[in-house]
Amino acid sequence: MAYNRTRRTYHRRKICKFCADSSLKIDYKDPRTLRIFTTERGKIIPRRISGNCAKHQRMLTLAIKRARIMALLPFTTSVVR
Amino acid sequence: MRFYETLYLLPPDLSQEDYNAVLDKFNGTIEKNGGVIIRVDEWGKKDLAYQVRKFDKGFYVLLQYCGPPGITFLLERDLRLDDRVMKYQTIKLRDKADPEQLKKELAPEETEEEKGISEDSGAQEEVAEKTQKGA
Repeated sequence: MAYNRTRRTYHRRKICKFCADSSLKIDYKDPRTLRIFTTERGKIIPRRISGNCAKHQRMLTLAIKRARIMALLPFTTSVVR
Repeated sequence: MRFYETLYLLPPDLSQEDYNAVLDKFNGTIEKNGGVIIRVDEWGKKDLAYQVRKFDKGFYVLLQYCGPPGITFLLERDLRLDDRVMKYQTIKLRDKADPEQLKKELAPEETEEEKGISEDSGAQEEVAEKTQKGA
C-alpha cells in the first residue's frame, strides 16, 4: 500500500469558532448565530465540515434543536412552498 | 429555588388587551405558586421559521423566573390549556438560584452569565423589538 501514500491530501487546520471567540455564545434564542451552522436546507453542518470541537458541537446541536421547536429555525425549507 | 426560563409563542392576530391578559395570567401563575419573576422579555411580533397554525408570524414572550421544582409543571399545564398559546418551551438555567441576586445580576444592562446556557442576546433582541415597533 505504499502507492497510496503518494496521494497527498491537504488538510487545513480547522478551528472551533466558539473556542476561538469566547464572546460568541451558543444560545437557542439567537437564531442568527445558529443559522451560520446550518445548511440552506436547515440541516446542522457536521463537525468535520465546520471544525467545531466536540463540546461546542454538542451544545450547538442542542441549541439548534431547541430553536427549531420554537420556530426560530426551520426543520427543513421544503415545507414552505 | 431553581432558575427557569419559558419562551412561549402567541398568535399574531391577538388584540392588545388579550395579549396583556395572557401575560398577566402567566405572570400570575408563577407568583401564585411561590415563584419570583426575574424578567419578562417581550420580543414583539417576529417572523416564524415555519408556519404554525397557518400563521407566518407570532408574538414571542420570554419569561425568566425562580421557583420551587414543581412550578414548571403548573405553568406548563396552564400554557397547554390556554388556546391562545401556540408553542412553549421551558428550560432550566440553574439549579440553585437566589432571586434577589439574579435580579441584581441581570438588571444592570445585561451582565454576562457564566453558565453554559446564557442569555447574551438580550440587547440584540431589544433592538429588534424596537425596530419592529417602529415599522
